Amino acid sequence: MSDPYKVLGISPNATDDEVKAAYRELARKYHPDRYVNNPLADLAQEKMKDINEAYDTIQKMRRVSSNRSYADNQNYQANNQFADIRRLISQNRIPEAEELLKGIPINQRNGEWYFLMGSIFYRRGWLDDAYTAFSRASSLDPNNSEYREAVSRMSFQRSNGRPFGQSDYRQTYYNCGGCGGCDICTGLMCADCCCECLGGDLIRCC
Amino acid sequence: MLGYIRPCKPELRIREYEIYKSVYCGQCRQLGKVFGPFARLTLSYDFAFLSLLQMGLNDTQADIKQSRCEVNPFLKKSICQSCDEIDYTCTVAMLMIYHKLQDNFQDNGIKDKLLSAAAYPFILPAYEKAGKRFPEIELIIASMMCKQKELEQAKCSSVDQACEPTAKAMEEIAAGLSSDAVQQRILRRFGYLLGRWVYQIDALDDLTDDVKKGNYNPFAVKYELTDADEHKIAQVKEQAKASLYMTIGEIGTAYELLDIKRYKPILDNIIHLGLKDSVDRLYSSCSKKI
Repeated sequence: MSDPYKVLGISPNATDDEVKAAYRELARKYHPDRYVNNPLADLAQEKMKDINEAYDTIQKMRRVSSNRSYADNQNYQANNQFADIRRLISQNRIPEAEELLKGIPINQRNGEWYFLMGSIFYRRGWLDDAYTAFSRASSLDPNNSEYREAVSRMSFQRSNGRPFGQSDYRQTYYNCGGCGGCDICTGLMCADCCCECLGGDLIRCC
Repeated sequence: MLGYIRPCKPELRIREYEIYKSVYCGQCRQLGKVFGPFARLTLSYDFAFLSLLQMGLNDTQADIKQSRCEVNPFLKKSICQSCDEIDYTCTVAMLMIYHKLQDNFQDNGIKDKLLSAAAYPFILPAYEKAGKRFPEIELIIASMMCKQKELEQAKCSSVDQACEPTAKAMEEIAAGLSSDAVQQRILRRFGYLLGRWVYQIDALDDLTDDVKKGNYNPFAVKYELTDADEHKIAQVKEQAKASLYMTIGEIGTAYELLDIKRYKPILDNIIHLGLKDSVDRLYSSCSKKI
């Protein structure tokens, strides 16, 4: 495997905290939840695998116990009549999936039908139709977390104009860490409050 | 200047901005050199972005030299010298521009018809030259533009379907940015979504004019906008904004999978900040047509 530090985009002299931060940032970017139903999901999965391997290698090299806690792919429920269609969609066989789905009579078109239709639209890149279909699925079956999450992912993007789960680019760009003026002031005020609670007085005028 | 895919200038480092500008100027020079001086008028931020993206994927360093601007000889500029990447995007730009010209000639008013007719004898030889270089791409773009026409004449009410031809054309152009099969897969999805976004933002920018002139506009048809009522237009624009934002989100998700070896900060700026800025600019109180 290639240089694990390069995979995580950090220097070999990075501190343990910097390694963890880099891992968390990348894991958030390529997490399977962000690529649910995405035709490029397998590529994201490979990237995730590389990132996990790199992190584990660095941890082993530094002899710190790893605490990887990110889940693997979700397991789809395959216990209904739409199981075949789901499988076709995950294999990216969209025209076949769509034909089968459209063949289902209107009186049987439930939440799952709309969710699968939404998935087909999403894979094709028809995002508006996908959002409408996912919303319909969720309204027909409000207890289904899969439909709800699909709607909330798209709603996030509709409101924020950035990928689901990605932090604001400007904040990360300007993230210089360390202690700012506000941090020092706040720290002192907190320390003063705690001191006063215990009977003392750190800063007389506060 | 043309194009919606632009950087957010205030957030670029000066060094990055200089590189971006040099590629933009390099594009202008290449257009003039290969396709004639008239072709310079088709210079677009969108294709400058594609050049930079291709250079980023191929790890090509911009060969920047100082020389005089050919349009304004009093200015000395840093210009990126010709390379495969700029050559590709300039050639493909000619294919797109030719069809846009035909579109303008058929749809718009007298002024646009005259301008298009005047430009035609200059653009046609450029188009034919470009078509010989990339015949497969030319074929796909031509067929997509035909489909676009059909959808518009049928007054398609689905924004997704109305975007599809432009999206498919951009998908094909983006796939040509790399020879690596995995990168091409990602570029196809990325290009599709980017083409979709370009069509949407163009439709949004033209919304008020289209409603006034009775031209086809997918947002106007979808939301049944028949008169240029300011309040109604504002409501439709809010809905359209959510759709554009959603597309930007998906573009970002696909973009992050690309293996970009150079100029990533500039490209990140364009994708993560620039696209949203272009949308937001349409909503500011002093907005003009971009």
